[in-house]
Amino acid sequence: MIGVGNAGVGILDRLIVETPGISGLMIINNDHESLGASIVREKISLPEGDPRDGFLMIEEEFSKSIEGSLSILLCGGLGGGTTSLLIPLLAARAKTMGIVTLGCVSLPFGFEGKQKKELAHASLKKLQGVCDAVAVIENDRLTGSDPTKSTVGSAFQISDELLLSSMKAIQGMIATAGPVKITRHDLATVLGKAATLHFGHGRSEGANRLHEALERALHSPLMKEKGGRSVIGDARMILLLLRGPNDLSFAEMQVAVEDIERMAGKGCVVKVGVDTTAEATAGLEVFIMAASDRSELSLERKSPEEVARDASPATTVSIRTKKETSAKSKPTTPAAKSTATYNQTQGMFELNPYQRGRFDKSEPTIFDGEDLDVPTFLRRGIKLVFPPK
Amino acid sequence: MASDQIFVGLEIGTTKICVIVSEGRSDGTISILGVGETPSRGVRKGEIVDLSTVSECIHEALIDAEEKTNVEIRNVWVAISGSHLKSFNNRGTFMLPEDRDVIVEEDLQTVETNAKEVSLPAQHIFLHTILQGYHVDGRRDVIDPIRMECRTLEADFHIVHGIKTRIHNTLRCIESLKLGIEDVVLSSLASAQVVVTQHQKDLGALVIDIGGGTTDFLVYYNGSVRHSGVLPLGGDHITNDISIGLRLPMQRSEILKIQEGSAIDPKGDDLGMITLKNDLGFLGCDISRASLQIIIHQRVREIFEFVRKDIEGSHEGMLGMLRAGVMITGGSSRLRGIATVAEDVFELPTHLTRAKEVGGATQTFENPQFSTAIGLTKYAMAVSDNIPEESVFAKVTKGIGGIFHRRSR
Repeated sequence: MIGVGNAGVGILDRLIVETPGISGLMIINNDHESLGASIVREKISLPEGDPRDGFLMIEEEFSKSIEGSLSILLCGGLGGGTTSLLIPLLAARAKTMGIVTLGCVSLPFGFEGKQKKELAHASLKKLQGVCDAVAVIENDRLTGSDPTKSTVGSAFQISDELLLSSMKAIQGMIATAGPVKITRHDLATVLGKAATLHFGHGRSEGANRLHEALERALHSPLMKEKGGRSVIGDARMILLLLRGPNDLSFAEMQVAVEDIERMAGKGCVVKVGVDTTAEATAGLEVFIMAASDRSELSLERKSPEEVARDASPATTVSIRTKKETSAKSKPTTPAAKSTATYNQTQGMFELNPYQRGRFDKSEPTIFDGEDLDVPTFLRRGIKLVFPPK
Repeated sequence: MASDQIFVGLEIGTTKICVIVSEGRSDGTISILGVGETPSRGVRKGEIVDLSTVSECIHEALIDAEEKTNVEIRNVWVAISGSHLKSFNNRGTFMLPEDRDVIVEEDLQTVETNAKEVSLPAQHIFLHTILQGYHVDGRRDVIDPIRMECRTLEADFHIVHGIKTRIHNTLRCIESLKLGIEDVVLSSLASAQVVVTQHQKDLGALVIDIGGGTTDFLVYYNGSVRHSGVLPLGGDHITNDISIGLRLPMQRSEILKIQEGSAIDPKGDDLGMITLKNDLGFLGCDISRASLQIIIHQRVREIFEFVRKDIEGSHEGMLGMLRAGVMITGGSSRLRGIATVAEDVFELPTHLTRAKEVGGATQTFENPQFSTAIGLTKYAMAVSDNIPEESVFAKVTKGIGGIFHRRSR
């Protein structure tokens, strides 16, 4: 997994803290302080200046470090200059080496400004053209799920959490070594048509590890449905990955599957993957990815296609899968539908471009073309001293 | 004038609704008997968006006031604000008819009506007509023209108008509580009654009342009101900025603003960190003090810059002539460093003020949040129908600088 830019570095740092024993992480950044402060061992330092030039300089180093990998996952926050320009280049390079390349990125909040948004979208487009699959987290949709209760502070928290969980889950799914694999096909099916994706991750050790890990996975922040309905109950398809040392018993696996199936509604497809290649001392990890059609805001039941097309403003992940490996060719049909979906998502999105916090619901105060409810320091591009928290 | 009369002022603000009950003394001062107050819900940026909720809040505030003062409240004087309010100066002219040489009271009415012969924007009605001065046959700034001999009477007024429905909404809200409305007063004018002395008005002064949802301002020059305005920006915007910038919930931001906030621009200095403790549903964290101040400074500065732009847009060069400087009042005026920013933006000496020349409960008038409501009662006393015998002259010298006229429905 490769973290790009300040956001990417931050995510990987957290991943290490939360999943000790995780390996295969690398960070790339041109902010040397952030590189120095990070606990990730493998680092590539991008020189200052235009990231495109910088890329040429680190290209070889990068290629060497990912050589031999079956797949890589690039993650970062789009919108910032470095990340947005660099990630597509890294992805392209990996693809030419025949490595399965996945992306997990976030789009900036509307209030962060038009420039950031445009840069992010341009970058995303390129990325989607190159990668096998890209998970996108649209920060602005975070407040959509429960507008009366979400605050700005929690929105940022959820954004970070979501990025992290998605990372863990996708990596978990893709990297299954066996004996029971979740195929990429399964993954693509789930990701391709889902209206809402929920990720859960839990880990435990000891005698009762299965139940505990499962419990924790189900209680992950993103598995909680607002309004009290169960995520699992509504899911159309669930991917379950158990990962542990090779003393993972058949019984444990069976129990896990039964539990989930019991909770899932009728007609829900459950796919299980088991990975027993973890170290003997590692605990048991449970990854859940649940795809549901139910948008958190709309109350009528629609077909998955309809819901995806309507671009529900619910939880924020939309995934596109590309079967082609060449960067420029047109996507095939399933991906094309997703493209259309994605674009329409974009369209609806524009209606509420700015995060105005408390003034979200009130008439905007426009003076001289500026929306005065958006914080002054943001509109004037004044930088704060530290990134908060 | 009738001594010891009771006046009740009602202010419906974005943050709080308050009722001030005052007693007018025969020496012209007022003494505050008590305050009724509730947090305001249903008001955004100075305007009522939820009639029933606001009615309830007003009711609570009234009960509160009645309990504390043992006064039964029947009629109130109401402060009106809102960004829809606009103002302009106009002159009315009246030529005395052939058969008369001497000015009578009705002529004053006539000249005012003439001044209002202006087409207002659609949906607008006159809210307040504030007298600036009379001119008699070209002789300027006559204080009391009644019984003077002349041919032509002119008068300058500062006229405030606003959207009819919004003004009426406020009134309807109050009337639904079976309260009589003595009259409506422009918020900034009310605040100015107790925050600026006549002397300062003569020297020229800018009064800025920064509340939760709006910033109301008034410019005095040569003793009379020359300019007024309302911005839909206030303390809430500062809190919101903090909330977004530091990623904190609103309530936390509000507390942070009050306890630690300062509008001074750190200018690159590292001011250390503030530690926020754990709370329900909120993890503790460290906040850079410099960041907090940058956020506050930018917003406060912008608000003042808007005020400045507004004044200079209508009266170029007047700011430089306000020798008494700037008076800041209102809840948000308690923010540390706000006077410094104002001085920087306006290039005038700035004072933080609260109600002056009032007696009674000390904490009340020392709190700048209540300036408007207290001012209402002072205004009420001065223009109340209990002073009909006194001439316009007396009214003006009491420091009002304006003749009160009933608003037209």
